[in-house]
Amino acid sequence: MDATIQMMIQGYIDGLESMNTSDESIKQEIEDYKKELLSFAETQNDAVTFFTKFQDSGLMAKYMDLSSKITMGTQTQSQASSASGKPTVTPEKWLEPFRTAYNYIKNLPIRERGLAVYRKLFEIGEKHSDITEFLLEVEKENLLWKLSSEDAIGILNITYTGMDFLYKGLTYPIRKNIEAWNNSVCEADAHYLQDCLAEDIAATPPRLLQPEKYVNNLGLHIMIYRGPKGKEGIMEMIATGNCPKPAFIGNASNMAIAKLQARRTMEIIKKSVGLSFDDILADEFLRYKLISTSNVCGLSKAYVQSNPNIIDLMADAFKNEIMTDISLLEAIKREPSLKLGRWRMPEDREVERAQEIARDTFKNLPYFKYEDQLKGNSFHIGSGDGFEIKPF
Amino acid sequence: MSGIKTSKELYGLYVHRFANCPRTPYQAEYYKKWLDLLESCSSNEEAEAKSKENGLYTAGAAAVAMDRVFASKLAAEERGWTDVAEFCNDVLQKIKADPYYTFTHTGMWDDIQAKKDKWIRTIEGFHRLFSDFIEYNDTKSDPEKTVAAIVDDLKMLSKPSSDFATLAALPKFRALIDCNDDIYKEFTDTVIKASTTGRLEKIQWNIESYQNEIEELWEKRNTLEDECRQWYSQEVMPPCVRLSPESEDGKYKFIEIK
Repeated sequence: MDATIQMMIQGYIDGLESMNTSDESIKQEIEDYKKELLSFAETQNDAVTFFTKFQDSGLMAKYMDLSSKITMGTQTQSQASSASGKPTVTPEKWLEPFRTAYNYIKNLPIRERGLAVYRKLFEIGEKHSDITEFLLEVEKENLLWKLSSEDAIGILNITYTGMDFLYKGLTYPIRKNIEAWNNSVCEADAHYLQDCLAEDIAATPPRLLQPEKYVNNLGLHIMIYRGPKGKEGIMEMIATGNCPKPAFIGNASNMAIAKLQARRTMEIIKKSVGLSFDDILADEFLRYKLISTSNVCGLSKAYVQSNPNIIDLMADAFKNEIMTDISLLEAIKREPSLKLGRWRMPEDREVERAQEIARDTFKNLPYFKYEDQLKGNSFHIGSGDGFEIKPF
Repeated sequence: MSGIKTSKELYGLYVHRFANCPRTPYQAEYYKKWLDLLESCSSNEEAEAKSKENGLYTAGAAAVAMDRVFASKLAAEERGWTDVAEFCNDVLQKIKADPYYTFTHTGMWDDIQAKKDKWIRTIEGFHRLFSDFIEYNDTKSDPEKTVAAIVDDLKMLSKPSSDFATLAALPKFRALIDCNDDIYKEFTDTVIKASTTGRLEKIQWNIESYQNEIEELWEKRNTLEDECRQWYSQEVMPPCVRLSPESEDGKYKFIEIK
C-alpha cells in the first residue's frame, strides 16, 4: 500500500477507534467500515487522487456518519443520565471512556486539534462534581460535537499541508470539507453539508482541471516540435555528423506535424477556456503544465522536472517559429541567438535526489512530521480484526 | 447535586441549538418535549418517570436518525434529486410509525446512499465524456480509442436521465463545462456521433505544404553546421526539483539537482 495512503487511512481509523461506544451495533459497523476502507485503500496506488476517490466512493460520507453516530449516541446517553438525576454518574466517571480514547491517540500529532477538545472536556470535568452542571458547560461550547468536527478538521488541515496549494483541482475537496465541518453544528447538519458537497466535488474539481488538460496537450506538441524528436534531434544530428536521412526526415516531419497540431490546440484553448499563450505563461500553476513533471513528495508537494528554463525555450519556439511562417531551415538558423542552453530529462538517481531534497525542505510541515512518525513503526488497526499495516 | 433548574437550563440549550439549525426539526421537537416535561415537574426523578411512561425516554435515537434522513431529503430537494427526496420521505414516515425502524432496517442508509450515488456518478460521467472529447479533439488521431471510452463513460449516466443529449441540454450540465457554445456543440455532436455510429473522423495531418521545407532542410543541412555546433556546445541545464509555495498566491521555488 502507498505510504501516504496508509497514513491517511490510519488517521481515519484512529479517529473512529478513539470515540468509545458501548453500542454493539455501532461497534460492528466500525469493524465493517475498517475492512471496507482497507480493501478500498489496497486498490489505490495514487496518493494524489486518493482523496477524491475516497470521496467518490462514499467512504468519506460513511466515516462522517459513523463518527457522528458515535458522538450523538454518547450524547443521548449522557442526556438520559442527566435527566434521571441518578447520583451514581459523576463527570469523572462519565469521562472515563474519553480518557481511554485520549490516551490512545495522545501521541499522534495529526490528532492535535481533536486532542485539544478532549483536554478542554477534562478541564471542565475537573471543575464540576455534578453531571448536569458539567454537561451544561460542555453544551455551551458544543464540545461533544467538536470531538468529531475538530478532529476531522485537524486531520484534513494536516493533509492539506502535504499538498501543492496552487493545485486547485486537488485542494478543492479538502478545503470544502474543512469548510463543511467548520459550519456544522451537529451530525444532521454535517450530513446535509456533505450531501451538498458531494455534488459540488463531483462537479467542480474536473472543471478546475480542464485548462490543465489543454495545456498538457499544447506542451506535448511544442515539445515534439522543439525536442529530441524534432528540432533538437536534427541539430544534434548535424552537430555530431551522424545524419541518417530517414531519421533526419522523420524529425523534420515531426516538426511540421507538431507545428500544425500546436496551432490547432492553441486555437481550441482560446475558444474553450479563453486563455492566450501569454496567459498560460503568466499562470504560476499552468505554465509548468507545459512540461512533463513527476510528483516526488506528499500530495503533489514537489515535482522533479527538467530545468525551468525549458519553458523559455518552448515559449520562444511557440511564438517565433510555430505561430509564424518561418521555415524549418530558418528555425534552426536562429537558434544560436537564443543562448538559453540545452536541457535534459531527469535521470533515475536525480529523481531520488529530488525526493530527498523535497523531504528535507518540507520535513517540518505537519503532514510530513506525521508521515515520519509512522516510518519504521508497525502499527495496529484496532484489535482482533486481523489487519496490520506494515512499516514502510 | 443540581436540581431540575439546571436540567431545564441544559435542555433549553439543546432546544436552542437544534431549533436554530434548519436541518434538525426532529431533535428540536424532541428536546422541546423534554423541556416542557421538565417545566411540568418538580424534580428530575419525576421527569424521568414521566418520560418512561410517555416514550420520550427512548425517543432520542429515532429523532437523531430522522434528522439525518431529513437532512438528506433537504439536500436532495434543493438539488432536484426527486427520487432521493421521495425515498427519504418514505423512510421518515416509516420511522415515525416505528421508532425502531432504523435498528431493524440498517440497510436503509446504504439504500439512500445508492440513490444519491447515481446522481453523482452522472456528473462524473459527463465530465469524463468531456475529457474524452478534449483528448480526441486535440489531434483527432485515435478515434477508435475515443469511441470506446465514450461508450464506456455513457454507462455512468442515469440521473436525471441516461440519455446524453437530454442531459447536455440541461443548464445544470452545460454549467459543468467551461467552453464557448461552439466547442460545446462540437462536444455534444462528437459524443452523439460516437454513440450512435460507433465511428469518429480521423485527421490525417497533411504536411505536403511542408515537403519543400523538409527537402530544403535536408539539402542545406551542411550549411547549418556552425549553428548546430554552437547549440550543441552549450552547457546542459541540470534538472530541478520544484517545491510548492507556502501560500495559494506564492511562487514555486526551484533547486537544481547536482
